[in-house]
Amino acid sequence: MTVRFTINGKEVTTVVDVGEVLLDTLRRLGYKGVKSGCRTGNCGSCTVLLDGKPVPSCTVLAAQADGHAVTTIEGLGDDHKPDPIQETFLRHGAEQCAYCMQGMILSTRALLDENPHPTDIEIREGISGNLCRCTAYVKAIEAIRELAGRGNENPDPWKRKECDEERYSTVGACVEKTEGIGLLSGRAKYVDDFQFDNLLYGRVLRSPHAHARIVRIDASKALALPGVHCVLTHDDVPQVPFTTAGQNYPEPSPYDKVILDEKVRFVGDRVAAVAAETPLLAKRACDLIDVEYEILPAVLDMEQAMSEGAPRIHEKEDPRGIADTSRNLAAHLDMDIGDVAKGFEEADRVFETEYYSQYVHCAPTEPHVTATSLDEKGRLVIVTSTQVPFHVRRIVAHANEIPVSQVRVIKPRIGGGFGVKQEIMLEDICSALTLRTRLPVKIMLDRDEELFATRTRHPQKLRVKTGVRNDGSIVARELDVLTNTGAYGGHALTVPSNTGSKTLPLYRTEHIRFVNHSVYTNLPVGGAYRGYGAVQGYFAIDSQMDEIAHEMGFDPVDFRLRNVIRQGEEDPVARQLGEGKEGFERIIRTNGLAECWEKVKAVCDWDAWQALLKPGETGRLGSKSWTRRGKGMSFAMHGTGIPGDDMGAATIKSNEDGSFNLLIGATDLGTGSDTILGQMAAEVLGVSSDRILVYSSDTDRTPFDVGAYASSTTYVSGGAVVKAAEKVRDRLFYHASKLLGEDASGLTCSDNRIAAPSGKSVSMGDVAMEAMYGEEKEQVAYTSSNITFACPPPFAAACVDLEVDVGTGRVEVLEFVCAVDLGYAINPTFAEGQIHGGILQGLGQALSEEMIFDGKGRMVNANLTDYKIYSAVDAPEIRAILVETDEPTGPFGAKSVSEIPVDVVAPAVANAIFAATGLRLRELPFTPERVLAGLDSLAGGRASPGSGSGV
Amino acid sequence: MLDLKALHSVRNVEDAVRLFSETEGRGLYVAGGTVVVSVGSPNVDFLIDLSKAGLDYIKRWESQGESRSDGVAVGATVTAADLARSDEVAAVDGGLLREAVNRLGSHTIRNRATVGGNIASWAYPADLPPALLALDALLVLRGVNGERSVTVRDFYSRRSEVHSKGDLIVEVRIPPIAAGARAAFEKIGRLNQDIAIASAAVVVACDGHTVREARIALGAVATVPFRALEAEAFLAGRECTGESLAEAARIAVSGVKPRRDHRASSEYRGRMAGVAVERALLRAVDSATHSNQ
Ligand SMILES: Cc1cc2nc3c(=O)[nH]c(=O)nc-3n(C[C@@H](O)[C@@H](O)[C@H](O)COP(=O)(O)OP(=O)(O)OC[C@H]3O[C@@H](n4cnc5c(N)ncnc54)[C@H](O)[C@@H]3O)c2cc1C
Ligand code: FES
Ligand code: FES
Repeated sequence: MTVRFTINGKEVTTVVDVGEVLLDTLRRLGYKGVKSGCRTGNCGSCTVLLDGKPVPSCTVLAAQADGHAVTTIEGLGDDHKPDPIQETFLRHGAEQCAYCMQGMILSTRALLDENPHPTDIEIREGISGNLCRCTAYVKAIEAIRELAGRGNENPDPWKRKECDEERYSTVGACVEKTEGIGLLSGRAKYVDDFQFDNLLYGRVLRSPHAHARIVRIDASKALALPGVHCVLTHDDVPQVPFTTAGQNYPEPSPYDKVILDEKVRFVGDRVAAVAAETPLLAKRACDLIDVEYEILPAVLDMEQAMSEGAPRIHEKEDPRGIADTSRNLAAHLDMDIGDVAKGFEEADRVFETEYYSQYVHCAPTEPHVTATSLDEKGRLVIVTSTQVPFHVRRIVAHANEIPVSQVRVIKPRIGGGFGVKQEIMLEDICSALTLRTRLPVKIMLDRDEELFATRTRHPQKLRVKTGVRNDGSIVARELDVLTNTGAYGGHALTVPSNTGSKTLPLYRTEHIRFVNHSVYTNLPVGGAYRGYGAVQGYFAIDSQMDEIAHEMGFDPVDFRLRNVIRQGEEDPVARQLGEGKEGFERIIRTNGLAECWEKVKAVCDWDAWQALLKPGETGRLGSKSWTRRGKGMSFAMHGTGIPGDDMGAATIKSNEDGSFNLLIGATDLGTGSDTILGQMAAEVLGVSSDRILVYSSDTDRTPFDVGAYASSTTYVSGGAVVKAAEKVRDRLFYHASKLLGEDASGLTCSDNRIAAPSGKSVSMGDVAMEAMYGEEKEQVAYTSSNITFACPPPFAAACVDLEVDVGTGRVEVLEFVCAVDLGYAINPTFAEGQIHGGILQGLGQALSEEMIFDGKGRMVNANLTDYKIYSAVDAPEIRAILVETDEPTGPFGAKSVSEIPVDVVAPAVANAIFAATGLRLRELPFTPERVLAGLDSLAGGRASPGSGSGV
Repeated sequence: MLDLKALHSVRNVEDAVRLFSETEGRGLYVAGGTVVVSVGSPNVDFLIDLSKAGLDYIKRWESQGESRSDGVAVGATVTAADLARSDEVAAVDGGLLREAVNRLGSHTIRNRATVGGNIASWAYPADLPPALLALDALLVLRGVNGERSVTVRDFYSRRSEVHSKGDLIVEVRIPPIAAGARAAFEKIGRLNQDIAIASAAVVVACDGHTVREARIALGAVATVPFRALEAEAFLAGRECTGESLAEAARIAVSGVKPRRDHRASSEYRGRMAGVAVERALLRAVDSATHSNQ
């Protein structure tokens, strides 16, 4: 049918399908700033203004827009004349991946048009339809306040906007994203925005059963459908085992997966794959594939997985890397330092408690999406939303039995990752479809598939046993973990390994024992998720630290500080627990934890609050008669890259005008790493950051990098950038010395010039010109790689202020304060953004997020209505504090910042709930229903609180 | 993308109802589409789009009650956001619908979600129906046999008698609440922005500290929203104290068998219904008694 409407003021007449939604029409017409994130009205990535009002265009039928005026982000401004909102957002660093931002900016436009001076609550309401998974809305709200003419009424005094000018000129400054306004005007290209001729849409048919064998599969009806080009089943693809975990080779994860198998192991597992001319056809084709299953008994409980007689989930003989298929044991870890048995004997008190951490999902706003095609030479080109392009190239080549040389992987802008895009989720099968059809194929996961069929944080049961002396020292600690890796074992060894290695060194302990069993179940598959095992570990350990302090009458802060690992000490665990193998010596060269706590304490009025509490009093009355208020704290340390494993490389080449191409394998997920690495190059080369042209993550054009994980990019890839830049600089000094007639050894560079001690100087452009067109004529270019063994840990301290509603059990976070010792902040704005986003994800883990399954292993809340992510009206005030300790091994003193914020949240929240109510919760998440049940059992015989007022 | 055979955009209700009757059970109305388009409807081939059927008005309506004062009629395709924006509505309902809308979905959803869709949709426990019940609102329905009006209460409690398939909600008529009466809406969810686990809407009129009339409606608890008549009777003529309100809340949920799903157990949902009623009463009574002084 034909519809007529205006788009950004232009009259448009177009033919649409009857069931087409406005989102698809707009994208088809080239308005690619309208993004698809859920198609259920929840996420707001698809927001457009309809007659001036923001609406989710995925819920509007194209035909309904007939006669109306539509405004998309493209209608708001462009490079030359951006909308003030875009400029202000960019200046504040409101965006990370920016996938949500096109929508949020439009909502902001509508808000300010209707109400030019909104209050904070009105701002939050105004953007409540735009879920952001990267940030915590903090900087967007700051930006909107400024637009509303309020400036920043409450600036954080510790904020550093400029770099340490005595030492640096670019690193340490709040430089705007290199992608610039393009990122906020809808023109930055994400995978779904690439255009292909004769594109086919891929779709995966997924198992409705938790555990079954495919007895027969008949695709003839699907293939008979006009427009369906290909159906692949397990008979059509190589049966080469691999792991979907995008880790360094050889991956420390079992090879327990093939592209398509004759067995399915969880609800959502792949059965077949289809390529068809439209998404709707692909869906219909999947419905027409006739599959006969032999349903097998399923293991839906991790406690039962290893029991006698439990069904075996992986049966193939001797698959590489599975610990014991006969017991569904994917991986096993066992580590002893000293003798815990002796330690427990020496202890005055021994505490033993058990904790549980649930199934949660990274839920990036952009779901997994991959487009594959063959280039003019017949090579496979994979454009994909990934954190690990180089691992994708290797693993896809291996799984499809083609040479690595025949594969090119490109990561364009991507809409968040957080770990789940460290997995090969679509690239292998999308490639198989292209290799078969010889046509371009794109697969974008539906939001429900994203949630139940990709990767999750590994659920764990953690038993912690700790022996403490009366003087407050810790003699012995045993951490015994049961990890649920689900149907496949990606990261089944390394995630739990980090549960121990990241947490156990924080508090000095004489005797340590760490045990882990990672078991297979017929449930969704564990993988990497920001925090990587440490989140679960800290929930257990730092909750228990509070419990011990309470039981033994210690001040919880003093008890922790007394035991914290000190500068100069060796981390005893690092040597024993490496990445699936023996580790390396790790000396703590910088530790700013005490300073972190000092700052947090000041901001959250910790001492004053404690002084208010009478001895033995748990919490205080909150803002209503039925709320109790309490504050809780926690500490954490994390890692920076994987020692001896992570390698990043950088190439820098000079151009004749004094600009430089920086080519890096590193993968910017929205974190700003392209900008940060550019800042580092600019610093070394003495040029302004706009002279560095960053191009990243293309396996044909950039050098290798392991990818974005393990908080490694700034430290590891940054080290490579510095090395390459130094070589380029030195070579340019050589050319400059000819122009200046001075000795190269004394030259320095700054402000886009090279200068001699005599005061003579020459512009970088002239030097580059000389190098390229002078007598010697050379392309000045170097590639360097960097690997590290030090992996210095960042440290963090946190305090949360919250209220518990004793009538409903709901926990309302009022404020979360977190300080991170990150070594040095190359870009303070981005570093704060990492903290904000990490805290909000942590709050989801602590309070609201949980994948829920029915008795058959089906996820029942696979949508963003019921998988509860914080919106702007739910997110609390979050304050990020950067503590700088100048790590000697890091580039410009930097360590890392991106994962550690998640670690501190769950224990701080648990400790605050205890402080508020006396209720100790050991099972995540603390949903209202769980909290209320806890309060009930606490009340025990006592009359339960009145339903409404609770008093 | 919905898998449809046809989409009819209608200009009036007559056409809508007629076209519906011709779809032989494979048709559905669509208004804002927040449910139909986002959740999808597997067994539907035809959609009848009401967005241009001329039902986006808010106008005065003379109610037939004893006061005969002016109420307001709200067309079915008025969006939740426009409903909340309307001072005409707020003057009649004591701000109850505005309060309910402000807890409905997100800002962008409220710009699409319509009043009619909210009443008709069964996909989620909806927020407007309890408020409309507490307001003693009426619905104007149109079927193949013409137009009639039913109370919102009958629409939910005697649905099979008053409603037939294909009936279109034309408008909602809201009589004014009594002078001095106060209204409050409470919704309990897992986060601020959530589908209700339980909700309550109350309208309370007091003489001094004595309740003259209380209307209490509950949402999300049972399969349909309902009025807690026994609790209302209990409160009438009673002094408003913390105890009497708590007792009314208890009565309101006694005998209800709350639904259970992945959002809440039956037991928790039942308790939350009580909490919602009690808190709504507390707030309404607080402002009612203050306004009397
Ligand atoms: C992300 C999200 C969050 C939400 N949160 C909430 C919430 O917090 N509270 C809440 O109450 N709701 C919530 N909803 C649901 C909500 O948007 C609706 O109930 C909305 O009011 C439905 O109106 P609509 O016009 O969009 O309905 P549509 O989707 O167009 O239609 C819904 C149903 O109503 C029928 N219908 C529509 N109009 C009429 C009419 N005039 N006569 C007869 N039948 C009609 C349709 O046939 C269909 O069956 C949410 C929805 C989404 C997507
Ligand atoms: S894609 Fe429309 S709201 Fe998510
Ligand atoms: S910046 Fe909001 S989702 Fe990434």
